[in-house]
Amino acid sequence: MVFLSIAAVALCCALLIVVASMFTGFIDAIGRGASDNLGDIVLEPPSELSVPDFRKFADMLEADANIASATGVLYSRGLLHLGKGDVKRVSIWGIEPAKRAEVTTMKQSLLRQKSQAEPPDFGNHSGELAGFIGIGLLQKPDEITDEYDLKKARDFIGSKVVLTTAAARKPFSREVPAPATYPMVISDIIFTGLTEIDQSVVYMRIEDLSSVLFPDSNEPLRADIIQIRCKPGVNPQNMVNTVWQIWRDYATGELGWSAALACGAEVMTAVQKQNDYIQELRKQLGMLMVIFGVVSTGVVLLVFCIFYMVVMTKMKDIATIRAVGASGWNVAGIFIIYGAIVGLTGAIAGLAVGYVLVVNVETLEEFVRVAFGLKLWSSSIYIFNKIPSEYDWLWAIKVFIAAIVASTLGAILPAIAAAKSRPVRILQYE
Amino acid sequence: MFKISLPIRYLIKRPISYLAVGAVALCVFIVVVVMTVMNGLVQEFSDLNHGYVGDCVVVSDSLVGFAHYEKFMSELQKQPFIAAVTPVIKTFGLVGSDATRSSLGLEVVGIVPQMHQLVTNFENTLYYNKGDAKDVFVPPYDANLPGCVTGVDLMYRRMADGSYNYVPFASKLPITISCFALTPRGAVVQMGRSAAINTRTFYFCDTSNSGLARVDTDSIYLPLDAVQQMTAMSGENPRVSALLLKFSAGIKLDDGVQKTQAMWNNFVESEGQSELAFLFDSVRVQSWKSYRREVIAPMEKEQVMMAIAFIMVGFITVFIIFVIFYMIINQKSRDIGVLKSIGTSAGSLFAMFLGFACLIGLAGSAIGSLGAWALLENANRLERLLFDKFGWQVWDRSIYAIGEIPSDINPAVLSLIVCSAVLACFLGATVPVLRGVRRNCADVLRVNQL
Repeated sequence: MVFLSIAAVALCCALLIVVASMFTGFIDAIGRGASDNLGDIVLEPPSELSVPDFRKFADMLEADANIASATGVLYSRGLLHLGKGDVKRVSIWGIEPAKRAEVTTMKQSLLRQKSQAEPPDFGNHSGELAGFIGIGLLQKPDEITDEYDLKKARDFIGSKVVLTTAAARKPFSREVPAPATYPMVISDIIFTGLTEIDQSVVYMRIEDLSSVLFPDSNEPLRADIIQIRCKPGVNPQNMVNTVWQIWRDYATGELGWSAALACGAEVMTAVQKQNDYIQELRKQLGMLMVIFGVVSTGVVLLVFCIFYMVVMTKMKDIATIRAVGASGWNVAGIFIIYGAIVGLTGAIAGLAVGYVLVVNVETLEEFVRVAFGLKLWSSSIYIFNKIPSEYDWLWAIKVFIAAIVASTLGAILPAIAAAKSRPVRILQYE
Repeated sequence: MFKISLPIRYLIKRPISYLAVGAVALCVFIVVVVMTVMNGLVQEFSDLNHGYVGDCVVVSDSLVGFAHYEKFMSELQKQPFIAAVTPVIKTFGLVGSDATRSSLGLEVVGIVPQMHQLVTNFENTLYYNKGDAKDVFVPPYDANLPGCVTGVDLMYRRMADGSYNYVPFASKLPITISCFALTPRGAVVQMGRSAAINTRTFYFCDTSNSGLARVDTDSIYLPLDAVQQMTAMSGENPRVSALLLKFSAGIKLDDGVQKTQAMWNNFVESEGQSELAFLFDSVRVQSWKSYRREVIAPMEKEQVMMAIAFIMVGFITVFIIFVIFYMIINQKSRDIGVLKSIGTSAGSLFAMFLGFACLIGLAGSAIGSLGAWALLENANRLERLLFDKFGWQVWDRSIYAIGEIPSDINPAVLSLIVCSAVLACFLGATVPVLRGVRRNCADVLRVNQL
């Protein structure tokens, strides 16, 4: 019967740990995805403004001993005609490919250039625009396996598409510039595993995008956002103030901005940038754990019932122990320790089962897909194409402790009943 | 008689029974609350999608759409099973205004408002023209200007309590919209040496709050004929992307879709030789459920996964019932012995104890359901109170497009949960009861066993 309570404790622990690990893994993946694609620290100038001559600012940042690299990105939106009747809306990112490869993990996501030693580039296409295009713009992942056909995607490299985007509205002007179309050569395919990027982004040279957005401008290149990678071992959180200081010096000194205007910029780590969403997800995780936790309090009842039964059936033994001199507390202690051991054993089993499930979650999901035709994880819904499979040790410890406490709690009342037993009455002959 | 009186007596007199009832009640309470909320969210989302597209869709997979739609529409309108039909164009456009530095890539939806509102819920999603979309594209400040309707999230900010910071009157905001002009073969129309992009300016008239986050952040509605001109879908053989249909009252969805499919097949056959007939190849007839499957299915899947998780946790209730019955049977072995010795069959005893299990299941379900009902009835009031006092919400409404917490308990879901609880009690009780009723009364009633 005691094995039943161990099994119940194990079941609850395993369930709670799987839920917590999956959720935390998802939250961590959001933070990691942000860092991989935005760098460690992000600087955004005040609303509606960009960072003029961003390369000079990037040089100032790179002069700091703790900053490995910095680069600027210019943003726009557009439409892309990919083939017959196939038009997609896209986010256009003007980038410095070599620098961006230092700041982010962009190079690993390029199908053609990821294995080459040289830094990535857009190649020479005799004056035509060239771009890296998200794989999700070219094809949909397979409905059953949720995987892209990478070979088919590579075939698009070198082909031409038509991009349309509009020049930026001039400051203080109400005139909205009309868009123009540009033929573009697909120079590489982006496959980050992050749905939002894979399905909507087109990278092009920042110089090219700048000339499209600001056709009449002779000023040095500007950027809408500065992305910064810290040197290995440096905590980005500790560098935010340094970046802020460099920015203020640059904005007020080099650009001649007022201190108030310069202060309108935002400097934060890439993970902080996702903070609102991450906080909301943490709240949802907390609620889910409370719900499952409340249901799991059934374990306390179960342990109580089982221990009550054990105490009732072992009354003669308890009375004998008490008759030879054991105090009520000694007897109660036996059952409380017994309860704790049940909790400990169940928790260890639950943690082990949870670990196996979390680490093999991809295999398990594939099994469910093959056996029942049910695709549980879809990249278009859950942002990433990989299921988080990191075991959350922090939650595991919390659940472990909670399981032992719950089992011990369940054993307390039966233990008190055992302690209050009266050996003379139990052991009398009749 | 004892089959009725004993279970009731056990339930009232044995304190251990209260534990079993409590365990069942706790489980039922949580499952009813969670499943009601999830079921409500899925149902609400499905209803919004239904309201957005109507009952049935005749839609092209390609942005170039299909021609001869007017002829097919007039055939549909003659059918008694069709209440209304409306043509729609869905394409992508680059949208700019003097409120933003650069343009946005949005879904441009071309509609005929007076027809569209007969099929969909469009008129009720509007703010300034709520209830009647007939003049939705007529700007209130200048009736001669071409108007447009934007998704609500494009124009107004969603506040933490889920409301929007609307202003009383639509302001005169010019919005420039550019679309690719595509030939019927899907190629970009060329103007000289470069691809043609058609740009026109429209003026803000209203916003549409469909309740579907992706639609409200991504869509801009324009008059159908304007979109046809901009996308080169007008002319001798005008084209549209889709026809949305509403069936007459009493027509079953599947029947209506089948009839529409049959009509479409006949139409394609009869128009097979007409110009642009090749565009019919990419056209499908779908029910609204099938058309919006991609967005509804994930929510349904999560509901199923949650149910599976609860089934796993529900096993603990089975364990509890098992243990409690084990105890009761052990304690009541005398009663069993006496009843068997006066001729009661094992089957009658089995039925009596299963009746007891059923009583526990029903009592636990009643208490759990009542608790769940009380919580759900007050869930929104409680959330508002928590938000006012502590700024805490179940869902941050500025992030999630969710309105009120669903609180209507679905009788079908409740019945399923109660049945599952009673079944769990039966399951838990079966083994101890079988073990108890199989015992020999002579063994049980021996003096040294009493």
